[in-house]
Amino acid sequence: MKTETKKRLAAAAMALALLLGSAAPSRAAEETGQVPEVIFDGTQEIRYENYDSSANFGTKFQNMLPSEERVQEILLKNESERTVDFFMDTEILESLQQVADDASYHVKLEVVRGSESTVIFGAGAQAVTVGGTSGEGRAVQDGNQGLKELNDTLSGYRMVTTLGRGEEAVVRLSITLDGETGSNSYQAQTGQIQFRFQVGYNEPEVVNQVVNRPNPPQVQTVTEQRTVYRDSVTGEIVSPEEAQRMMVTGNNRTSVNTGDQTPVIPLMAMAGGAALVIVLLLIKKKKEEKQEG
Amino acid sequence: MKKKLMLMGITAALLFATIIGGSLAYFQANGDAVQNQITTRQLAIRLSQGSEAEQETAWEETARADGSMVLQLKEAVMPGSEVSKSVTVSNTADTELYTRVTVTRSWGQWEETTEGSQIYEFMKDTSLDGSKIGLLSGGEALDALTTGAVNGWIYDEEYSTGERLVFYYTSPLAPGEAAENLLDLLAIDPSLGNEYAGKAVELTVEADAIQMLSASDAALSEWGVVLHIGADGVITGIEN
Repeated sequence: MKTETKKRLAAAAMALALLLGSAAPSRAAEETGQVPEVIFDGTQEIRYENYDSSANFGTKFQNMLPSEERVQEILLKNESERTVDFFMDTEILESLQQVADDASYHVKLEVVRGSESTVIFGAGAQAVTVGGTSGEGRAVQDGNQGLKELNDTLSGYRMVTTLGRGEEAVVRLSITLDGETGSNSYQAQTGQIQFRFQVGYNEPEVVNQVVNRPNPPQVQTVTEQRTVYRDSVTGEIVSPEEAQRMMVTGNNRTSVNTGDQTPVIPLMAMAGGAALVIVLLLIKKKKEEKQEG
Repeated sequence: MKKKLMLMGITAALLFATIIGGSLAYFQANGDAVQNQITTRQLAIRLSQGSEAEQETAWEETARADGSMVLQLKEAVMPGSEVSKSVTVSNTADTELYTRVTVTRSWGQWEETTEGSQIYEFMKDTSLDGSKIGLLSGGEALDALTTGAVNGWIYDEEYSTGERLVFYYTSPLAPGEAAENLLDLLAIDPSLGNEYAGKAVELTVEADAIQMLSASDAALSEWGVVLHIGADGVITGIEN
């Protein structure tokens, strides 16, 4: 192979490597535990383990009785190499009564890391009462929505914890069907809760530092920096997408914006610049070939 | 040399674009939506009444839509007569429960609905004393039980009247399990006056149940009584 061809191939390979270089390596599956597991291993897909099916992720809310507290635990695992934020969207798809669910429910959502517990939804260490038609401590006052009242506060991605490399946390969702209001009409009823999970982190900030010849060009990477966004009204940590949306539309949360928020105009300008360099080089080459001819 | 320069230019442009792009990215991984089903248990009981022989011979039996049962003797009774009758409750659903049975005893007679129709209806006579209809279990009169239990049933004297008797089964019933017989014999008072001549007997039996979990709260809420429950789950006493 000619030396010129080799150089051309090497340069093309270098460009290709740079284009593919941002893909994260995948990791092997870990041993499963006793509760459903949500595992982030550095890839774009969050992995689930230790569950029956997507329709039966956990079974702790089955065969409930009035006044009985049920707790569904979900283990969050970070098997990636970096510190990441876990977000969780909890939505009641069906309450126990489809129309006029007038029972009360006592609900608490917390995240436990070791001996440390952080209440995400609750009145201090106590559960919050939702549903019912009256009573103190109710989260929502317009009643008859039953468990679906939870959607006003838990629906949408909420940050539940930040986990470092190899760290774990347990999400504990506790639901009690109230003994007084959960009357005979609540026998043999069915409802459905949906969970969605999201993991995010800021890519390391990279500073391009070019050194003049005779030293070769080099790139220096600085320490990783993370940005945490807080809702100015509630003080809660929100995802960067949610923060971006709230800055534009105000403080009313809807579903998470999962699109790429990267500003494209500077990138397009740079791509245009690169194309211009190529065109100029080609023109210059043609001219030189003519002159030589 | 010129080609080399051109390739280096392209590479440098790509390098620059990649570095800037990387510094702006926020990595985000998503998981599929998953669901948990929420379901509730069911409480259900069934009253059972004696053997087929009993049903065919002496008693007219009607099951009501609300689950209660009406038992009527087909013939008038004589003072001091005895008629066998057994009643029990079984747990037909998936939840451990405590059960209560209320028996209302009445006098009456069979009358034609319209003259010559040959269709007879039991007409209650509320002027007569229901307590003259004795309910026995193992030879003991159920309405005379003041302490202890017979066949696992205890009598709630305070909530009972001469006509209406209330009993609680002291052990929790597991799914599929049946309680011991509440009664096995109906005994008519031997000292009946003439006003009872030609009269028959009607028993209305109603049963209801509460869940075993948090049973003390449920009993107070649904039955209006305080249950004293031992560590083994057996009811040791009731308070009204």
